[in-house]
Amino acid sequence: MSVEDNFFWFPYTIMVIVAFIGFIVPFLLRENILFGSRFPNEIVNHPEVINLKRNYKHLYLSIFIPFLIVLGLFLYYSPGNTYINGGILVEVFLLFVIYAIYNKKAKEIKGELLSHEYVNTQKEILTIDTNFREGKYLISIWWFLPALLIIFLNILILLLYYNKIPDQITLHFNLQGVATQLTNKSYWHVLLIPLTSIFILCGFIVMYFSIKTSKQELDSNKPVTSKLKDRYFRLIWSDYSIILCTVLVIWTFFVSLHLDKLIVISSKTFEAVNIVMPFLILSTALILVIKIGQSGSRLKLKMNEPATGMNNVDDDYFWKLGMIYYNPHDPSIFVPKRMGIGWTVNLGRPAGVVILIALIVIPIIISLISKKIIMN
Amino acid sequence: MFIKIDFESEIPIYAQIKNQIIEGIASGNLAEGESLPSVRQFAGNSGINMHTVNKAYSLLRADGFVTVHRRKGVVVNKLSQMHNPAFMKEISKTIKSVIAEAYCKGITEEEFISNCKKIYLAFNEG
Repeated sequence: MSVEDNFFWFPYTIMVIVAFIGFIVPFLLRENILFGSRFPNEIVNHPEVINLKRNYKHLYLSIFIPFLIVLGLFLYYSPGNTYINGGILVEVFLLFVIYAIYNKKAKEIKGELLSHEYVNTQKEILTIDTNFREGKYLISIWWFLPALLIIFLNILILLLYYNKIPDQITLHFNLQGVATQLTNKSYWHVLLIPLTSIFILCGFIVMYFSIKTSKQELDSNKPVTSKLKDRYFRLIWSDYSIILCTVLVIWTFFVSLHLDKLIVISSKTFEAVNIVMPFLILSTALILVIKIGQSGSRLKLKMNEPATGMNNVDDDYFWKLGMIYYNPHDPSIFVPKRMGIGWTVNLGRPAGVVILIALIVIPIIISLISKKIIMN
Repeated sequence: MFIKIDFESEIPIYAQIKNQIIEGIASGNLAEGESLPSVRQFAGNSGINMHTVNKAYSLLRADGFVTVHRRKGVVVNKLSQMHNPAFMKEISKTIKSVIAEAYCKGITEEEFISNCKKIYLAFNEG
């Protein structure tokens, strides 16, 4: 397998997986959420709703299949970062537009159905559990400690053995871990990888914190079941984020020592890990996303909780385009996503805006700094 | 314990929270010594304004249902701590208006009292 082959199949497969996840997300949401709009129980299975879902499938496939084919041709004949980055940007943009359109359609259908006289909906109730956070619903934050120790160990080894590192060190390397560009040794260059690891760790800790503190959103129709599902959802994703973080940190540890010639990883092993790991990460995430669904909606729990017949409060107004949460009166900073899996921020709170900006700006700053270091 | 809030109800939200916590204590759903979420947590979990939650909690504290500890947070008091023989005087006005309404709607004394007994029984058993 040559490098060029990898360069095509590798990003392309990831794009196909992203498109696939984008396709299935609307079917993994909580039971009374349709394309980011909250539906009363009485109309969530109305024929018009089922029709809208079918319509979405057709539209999505008729846009994404040609898009992926064209993108594949471009990538195949002129592989390069331009088409990879551009392709991902277009993909995200398409997803955003399609979701926004179907959110609007869903709201229209809801308005229409509710204006009919024959639809009589139950009371809208907000259910809060006073014991939601009691007991174990999250893995302990101390499990981040191994990752932190590995990063420190990495820094320590690089500093202790600094003299053994060759004067010319790797700046760019290929999939096999072979240097394609060298540079003069300096502390900055040597420590670049463990410093990036620290930022990765911080990113995962923010994720952990969002899992821990995000708002509880119980289904008023079945509060006990939805509480359990939500707690499993948080437990599993916090486990996953810590495992993922540790695996990434361990691998970057070895990569850093390999690039500085303190250890040798054979190019075959290096290539294999570099190809297998992203797919392993993506496929396990995909399995979790499908098996658990948003807030545990797809978990099959053996519970015979009688339905209360209550609906949740319609909060569509605060979800702009069904995706962006803006509610200045809501003290929560992290809330469960409406049109996706996981958590998002409340842009109506200053802290929410700060976190969002930080999540966008920090990676850009890091890449600028590392570029600057590389330039020197 | 689950607290259910109806935003369209005539009863203000702070009163809904307060009433349901008291009912929870009476029915045993909230045990003595059990802690309730802090004002910030409660608000953050529900999206309800912090002032509203604070109002409910201060009323509960003033009436002796909960104690606010610096470290343990908001904790449900012992039932014996809540006992207040003078309370009958305080609620006789409320009872009077409730009975007056029931009387006008044609509810008999027996019906009313048997209903009261049922509620008492449920709390005793809880």
